[in-house]
Formats: sequence, C-alpha cells, structure tokens
Amino acid sequence: MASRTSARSTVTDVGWSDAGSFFNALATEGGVPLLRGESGTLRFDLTGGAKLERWYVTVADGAVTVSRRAGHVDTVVRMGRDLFDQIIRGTQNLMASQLRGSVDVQGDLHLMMVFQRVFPGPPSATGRRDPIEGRTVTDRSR
Amino acid sequence: MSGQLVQILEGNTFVVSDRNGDIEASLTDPTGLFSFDTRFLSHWVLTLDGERLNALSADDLQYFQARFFLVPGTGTVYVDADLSVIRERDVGAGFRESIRILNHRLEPVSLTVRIDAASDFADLFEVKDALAKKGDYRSTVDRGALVLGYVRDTYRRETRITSSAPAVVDGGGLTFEVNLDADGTWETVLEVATVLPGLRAGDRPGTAHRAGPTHDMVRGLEKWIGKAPRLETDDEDLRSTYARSLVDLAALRFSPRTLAGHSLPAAGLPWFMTIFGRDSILTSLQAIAVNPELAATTLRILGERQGTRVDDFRDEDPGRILHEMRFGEMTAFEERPHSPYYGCADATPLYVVLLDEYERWTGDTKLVRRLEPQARAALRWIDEYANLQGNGYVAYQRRNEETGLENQCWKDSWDSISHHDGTLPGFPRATCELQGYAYDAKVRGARLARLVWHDEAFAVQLESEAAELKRRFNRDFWVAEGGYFAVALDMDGRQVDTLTSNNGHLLWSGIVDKSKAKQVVENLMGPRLYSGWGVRTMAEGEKRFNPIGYHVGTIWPFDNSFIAWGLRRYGFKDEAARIAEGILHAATYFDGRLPEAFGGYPRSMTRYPVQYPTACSPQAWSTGAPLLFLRTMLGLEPLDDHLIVDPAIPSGIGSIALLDIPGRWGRMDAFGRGRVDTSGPGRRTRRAK
Repeated sequence: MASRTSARSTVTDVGWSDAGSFFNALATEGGVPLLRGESGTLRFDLTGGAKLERWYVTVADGAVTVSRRAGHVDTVVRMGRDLFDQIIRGTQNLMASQLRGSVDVQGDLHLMMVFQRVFPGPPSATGRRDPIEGRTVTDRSR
Repeated sequence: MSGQLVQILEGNTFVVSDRNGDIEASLTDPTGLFSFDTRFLSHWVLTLDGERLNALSADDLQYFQARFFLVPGTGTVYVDADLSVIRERDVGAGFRESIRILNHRLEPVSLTVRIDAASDFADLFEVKDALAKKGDYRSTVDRGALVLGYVRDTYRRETRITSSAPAVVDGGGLTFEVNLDADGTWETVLEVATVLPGLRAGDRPGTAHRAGPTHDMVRGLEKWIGKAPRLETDDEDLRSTYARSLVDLAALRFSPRTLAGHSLPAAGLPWFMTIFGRDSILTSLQAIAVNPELAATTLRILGERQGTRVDDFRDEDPGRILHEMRFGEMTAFEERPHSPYYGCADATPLYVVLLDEYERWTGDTKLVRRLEPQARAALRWIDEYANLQGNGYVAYQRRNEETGLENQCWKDSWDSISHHDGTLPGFPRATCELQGYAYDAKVRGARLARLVWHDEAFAVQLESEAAELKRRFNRDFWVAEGGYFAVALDMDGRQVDTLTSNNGHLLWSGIVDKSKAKQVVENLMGPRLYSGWGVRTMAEGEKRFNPIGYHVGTIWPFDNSFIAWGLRRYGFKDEAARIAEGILHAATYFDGRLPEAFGGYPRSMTRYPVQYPTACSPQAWSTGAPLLFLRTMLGLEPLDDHLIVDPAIPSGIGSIALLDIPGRWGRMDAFGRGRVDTSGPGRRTRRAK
C-alpha cells in the first residue's frame, strides 16, 4: 500500500496548495472513479480574495470537466478561499465546516455529498491506504 | 421534571414536555424542543394571571401531534374551574401550538396570559454528558417576533417565536391581555421556528421551518400504513403489536436532506434520532417484508456517505460504512467525531447483506447496479482495512482514543466482551458475529456479482474466500468442550470463551458448519441462555453475567429476532417459534411497544418481563422485531419470483394471515396455523390476554 508521504513530492506533501492547482489537477485527470454513477454541475464560489473566484465542475458519470465560464448549475458551494485551501489540504473537514456555518450549500445537496469524496483526509492520518476505486485525487499528480 | 412526559416527533425534530405541555429542562434532562441534535427550547411555560395550570388530560393524538386539556388552580379538585385551556401542538421542523381559552362563566373576564420562553441551545451530547456551553446567548425582539439566539464564531442557531394574536413581546416571552365575553373563546397560534444557517438550504426564517400542514402528515401516515401488508389473526395482542410497530416505525423515519421525499429508519427516541449505519441496516432487514423502500433509502444514503479517506479522528477508512451522523455544536467544532463517525465494524459487511436481501425481495437490479462501486468498496474494506490481527478475521480497534468507540460491534458497552473469568481482552478484537457477517457478505456479494454485475471471476473469488473463512472460523472459534462459538478472538488470536447470544447471529449468517448447529441450538435454548422470554445476551454462569447488565445478561428483542431467523435458516423451526412466542408475549406487557432490552431473569421467577431502565423508546430495531418474527413464523423466503411460505407458528397464537406482501412477485398472501407447542418446563402454556 502506498504511504502518504511517498504519494507526493510537493512541499505540502498532501493535497494541493491552492484552489487553482486542485481544479487544474481535476481537469487534467478528466475522471474520478469515486464519482462513477454521479452527474451534475457544481459551482464553487470562493470568497475573501480581491474578487470572487468561481469554478464550475461538471461531473458526467465520473468524467469531470472544469471551467471558469458560467453555465447551468445544480449546486452552489460558497466558502472562504482560506477554508477551501485547508479543505483541499485535508486540514479542515467539509462536513464539520458546513455544520459550523462556514460553508453554504444551495441546490442539489446529494451532488455536494458525493463530490466531497475527492477531498483528501487529514495529513496526520495513520498510514495512507489505497482508496475505494483505483487512485484518489490526491494520488493524481504522482 | 417529574411524572409522565409527552413526546411528539417528526424526522429529527421532537418535543418532550410534561403533561401540562410545559417544558422546564435542566441541562441533563432530555426535555424541550430538539432539532438536528440541538435544543431550541429549554423553557416553555404557560401561565394565566401568573398561575400555572393543571392537566385534566394529555394525549398524543398522532406521533407528531399532542393535545393538553388544562384548568387553572393548584388543587386536586376541579369542580370550581370556570375556565378551560386547550393546547394543541404539531411538530414539524419546529412546532406550532394553538392555545384556546374558554370562559364558562356567565360574565366577562379579563386575563393576563403569558408564555415564558428560553433556550440553552444545548447539543444532545452536552445533555447526555452535562457539559458547559462555549458561545454567547442573545435574545431580541424582531418585528413582533421573539428571537432566542446563540452564537459561537460562525456557528449560529436561533429560535423564532411568533403569535397570530397580538402580544407584548419581551426577551423572556410573550404576554397577552385577554378580555373574554361570557361563554367566550380566545385563541392564538404560536409558531416556534428553528433557524440553522447553512444546514437547511433555501430556508427562510419563520417560513420553511414551521410545522408542516398536519393534514399531509396524517395522510402520509395513512398511506404508510396502507402500503404495509394487512395482518389478520385471532390473536388480538399480535394485531395490536403489529399496528404499534407500523406506527412507531413511521414515527422513526428520517428524511435525509440529500434525498428529499425518501426516508430511512433512525435509531430511537430521544437520543438517537439520526442515521446509524448498523441500526438503519438491521431495521431495514427486519422490515423488508413490510416495507422494502426503507432498505432502498438506507442503502442509498449509507452509500452516498461511505468512507473514502483514512481519517483517524473519525475512524474513517475507504469503503467503510458510517456508524453515526450528528449535526450539533460539538460535532461542528470537532469536539466529537460524528461528521460522520465511522467506528463500527459490522455495518460494512451488513451493507452488502442488505443489498442482496433487498434484491431478492424486490428484483430492483437497477439499484444494485448503481451501488456496485459501494458494494465492492465495502467488500474490499473487509479484507484490506478490517484485518487488524493479520489473520484474515474482521477486527476492530479505534484510532480515535479520546472520543471514539471502544467496542465497535452491536454490544458496544465497555464490558460486553469478556473472558469466562471476567477479564477483558485487549485490542484489536475480532468478535465472532463479525466473521459471520463477513462470510454472508462474501456469499451474497458473489450472488450479486454473478447475477447483476456479470463478473463471474469476482463471484468465484468471493465464494472461495467465503468457503475458506468458514473453514477457518469453525476451527478457530469453536469451543469444543462447550459446543458453541467463542465470542471473540483477542489480540493474540486466543479465544474469548464466554457463551453469548452472538451464536444466534452466526446461525443467521450461515457460517456455522451443519454438524455443529445442533450443539449451538442446544446452548441457545438451554437454561444458561434461554430465560423463557428469550435468549440472554450473555449466559448465566459467566463471571460478568448480570440479568440487568446492558449487554451481559439482558434480553434484547432485536437480538432475538435475528436469532429466530438463524434458527429457521438451519431448520430449527420449532425453536424459532418458541423465541417468537416469548418475545411477542413480552410485548403485551409494554402495550405492544417492545423496549430496547429487558431483564434476563427466568420467566418462571418474575412472571412478567422487567424492563431495562433506559430512556430510549421507541427504538427502531425493537420496533422492527415483531415484523421479523412475522417473517420467521410464516417462514417467508423469496425464491426467484416466488415467495415461499413455510409456517411454524406457536399454537397459542392461532392462525396468521399476512395479506398483500410486496415484492418482485407483485403482492402475495401468506397463511399459517399455529401448531407449534411452545410450552416448556417452568412456562405457562396459555398466553395471557
């Protein structure tokens, strides 16, 4: 089984450093086995920067495309950019953040629930092991 | 608060009050208005001219609706009462309460009516453990509404109270100056809305969270009951137990926000109105002949939230099915791991078991295909993540040492798993029933792989793994001198040799060698385990045995329903009927609502079942037990597009007809006549009416 530290060679060693690299990795990969059977478009509104940062992620039975251009949206997820950066590093948990009121989700909640599968676990976890189907998104830049 | 409590609920919202309709909660007392694991009202008291009222009667009209008839005065004689007060309360996402005051005098009267309201916004976990709050309270008056609020960083919860009749509103309640004519009536409708920013998408204060139209809820309940098979029997007790179970199961339905319009069973009131992997799965299994839709929702929701990461705090692994989901403040701030918590070793194999059982009843291959990735991940978890002893058995050991669960099997109290001499084994622990579930998951997974996923190689692989697991299990767990299976293997692979009810679950799973079944059954029905009412969780004679110990001697109706299923699986029909008779008879002492557990005293000694002192009622898998007993008594078993009926019914029950059983066959009826003599030594032969 791959250990967490061997999975990546970036500075943070887990997850991604920022939203851009996360969404770019998703776009490059083009598909996530963990999202098989799921379809819809999520819009991520990241606040707190100089201007609102918007990312559109379309899932079509596991195939993923990423865009900055507006279109039909099923789910809107709004949160601070700092928080999002922590979530994609695995240092914050999306569900707990939502309960705290730090994340606002509108529209199709099921889509958000399944999409959060691609966020990494905490970097401190005891031994990183293979994910459900093939590799996780965190493994993608290997 | 003393005396009887009145509780009404809808989804994960519930109100517990006294018989006056008043709420005066202390921190440790589970009364109040709760929603999403948070108390939104801890104080709610009605007075007339500063005086409390007295209850003439209090009724829960429906599980979501209560009515209180009250009169002024503090004495016990009401003949002089010339005013009546009627409170009617409907629970929805908050509650709606109408207060009507009737003047019976021949002259007008002026009254000051007051509702005092306050909230401590306690998390259910805080109520359970009496913990202090960390945020700030504020109560304000906003456009005629009393708004009780609580803030901690970004976490905000509000209770918004409005009245249809004009009121003077202050930070502590609402006051009405009421002038009533002779024979006059005054009425107001109070709306108590719960506000949870971020948790209820699209909700607006004071609108979306009010109690929903009662008419729809009554119709919904009628529809739910109408969908279930009809039971015809001479046994009045069984009839009322069945009716009670259907209503309670309806009350315990929980509609997750991600799957609007669908519901799955929550675990129990008041502490467990949430998604529990194990409880939701086992209850769905019990109820499958009555309502297979519960299983479909359970499978979808648990699949949606299946683990994908390694997270020590949440004891999450890829493929693991969640244990418990919570929505309160302590979960939000990660003082508790329930967002969700995954520390449970049986829900994952049982997920596959339920998926297969669901397909066998409904023929819904579409859902089985849709959930193929989840089922495969669950099967992978068994081998890759649960093999903590390195010997191929499913074992558990929490990684969250602070707030995680020590025992991750259904007997989850600290002392439930012990050696014969009372010593507790170390971790990781591999309890026996987990091996049974894993075996069954592989066998059933193989069936689904072959039939639905069209993966013959995977089916063959699973079958060979199952056969190998069964072979080793019957060697390693078998206590030859006792003729039963050890409750667990400890960290060193040594047998934990107590005799427990877990043996019945092993029969249900099918992991028991045919040659060993007779001895296992003799133990289950022998005097050490069988009390006359049912099978004890732990056998008399074990060091830690205690007839009123939570998992070390009490009798659990849910446990017994699966034991009866196991007995039927191995052909012990009469023994299964005896178990059904005992537990169903016990139900008559609780008005048809089986408690979570009752005392393991011999039936001949106590004559009636002694309830285990627990606050949780109704509880989903106790509610489901009579439904599973109907299945085991009638011997219902799906076979392709047919429903096999092979009755073995206690003679005391007489005839049973279960009509319009839903399934892949459309609707079918099952009939059976009671002919199994369930009387035994020290037992009554007639059922008391």
